[in-house]
Amino acid sequence: MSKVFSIFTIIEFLTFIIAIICLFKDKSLFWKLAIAYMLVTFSTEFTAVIIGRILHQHNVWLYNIYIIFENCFVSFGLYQFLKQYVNPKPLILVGSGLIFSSYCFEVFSHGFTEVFYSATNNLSAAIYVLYSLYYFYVLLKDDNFIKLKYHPQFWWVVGVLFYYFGGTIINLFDDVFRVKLSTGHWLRWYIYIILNLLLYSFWSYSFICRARQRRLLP
Amino acid sequence: MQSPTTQVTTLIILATLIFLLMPVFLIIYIRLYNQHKKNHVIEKQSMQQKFDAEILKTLVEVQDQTMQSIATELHDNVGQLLSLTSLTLNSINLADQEKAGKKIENSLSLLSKSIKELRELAKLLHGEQIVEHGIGHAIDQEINWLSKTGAYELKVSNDLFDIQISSPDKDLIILRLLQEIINNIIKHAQATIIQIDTYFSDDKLFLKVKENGIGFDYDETKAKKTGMGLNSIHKRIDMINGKLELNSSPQIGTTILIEIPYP
Repeated sequence: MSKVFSIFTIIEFLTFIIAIICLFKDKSLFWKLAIAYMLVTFSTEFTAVIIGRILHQHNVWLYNIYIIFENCFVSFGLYQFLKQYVNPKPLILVGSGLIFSSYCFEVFSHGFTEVFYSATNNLSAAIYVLYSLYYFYVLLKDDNFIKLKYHPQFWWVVGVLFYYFGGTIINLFDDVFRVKLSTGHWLRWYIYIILNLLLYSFWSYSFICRARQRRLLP
Repeated sequence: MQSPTTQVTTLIILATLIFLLMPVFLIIYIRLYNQHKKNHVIEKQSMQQKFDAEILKTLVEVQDQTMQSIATELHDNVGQLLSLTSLTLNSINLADQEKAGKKIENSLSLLSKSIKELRELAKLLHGEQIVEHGIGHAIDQEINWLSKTGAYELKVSNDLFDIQISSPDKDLIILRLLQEIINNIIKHAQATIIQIDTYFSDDKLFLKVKENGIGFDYDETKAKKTGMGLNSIHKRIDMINGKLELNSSPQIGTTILIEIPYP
């Protein structure tokens, strides 16, 4: 059983459950998509574990497909949240264009099953960090104040910032210094556990805030 | 001596921690800034509430003043006219047709006068909504009423009839300021001549009232805060970001110049 479940699948499964509980009745497209995205994330991780640990085959192609879903969802989320303050279309289109170009380049240069598309991953991380910072900037510039404590959009973006900004060092240097610890796991594995914990904790909290916001809204 | 792997591990962990700490500081900063924004919004709301309350108070005071004027007018003028009419009609002796005709004629004349006075009163009652017709008309109405007392020689120059812009809240306050200034003159100044000038220039409205009364020590009155009327004038002028210039000399009189950004 422990072979089927990894710490990542557990975290993602719990977030998926929270998303269902909090967002099932939500009428907003983005929050509904959040449930679907968490299902895709959990399924990908679960399938990757089965392919890797039980079937002992390469599962990198699965993550390369997953990147598409991840980028679509995160870009859409940031677009939705920035839209409340500015017109983010040009910004999101440029960012998405860059990510898409990088993805196509890696598909053609590395094939689909050989390596993980780390260049696309790093580029998208940098773009999302910039988007998140821009979101905070427009949030601060806005004349109205918000109740940050219960603001779902804010905490969702905080999760994005922590995950992508926190992963900068390991993304940049992991290929150069691949460090395997005495426990048998790569350093990257531990750091990503922390990053995933942070990301999904903030997202879970944002789902809870969203459910609360929906209840309070007329 | 640490191995290179351990050093790299430590370096990556430390760098990652620093990268994770930066969003923490950012969130703290956003939270503080948001709190500051919240306080600012609350302060603005509170100021708006105070302003609205003051406008309401001003409106009530303007209405009070109107009612007082009506009461005085009814008692001193219309009431007297009607009493006289009643007395004249009661004294008619129908046997003496000639005298009775004269008395009826007199009564009719008194009644016409009463009707005229009542029409004037109706105009004053209508004056509660007077600022709706513009500050120029409101000031004119106020001056007309003052002129009816006949106690003062008035020199008036009101150039506010034709201004195309308006600010109902400010109009109400300006009217009340003029009423308070006039009240102060009537109560304390012992003046015989009052000069009122109003004009609009460079997005500012000017109201100048000059009288030849006994004057007073402005600084002393201001320091003692005894002049409730004066304090109220100051408070209202501050509320609409206006300026007040007051010059008073004993036995020469007082000049008040009010400058208000308008609209």
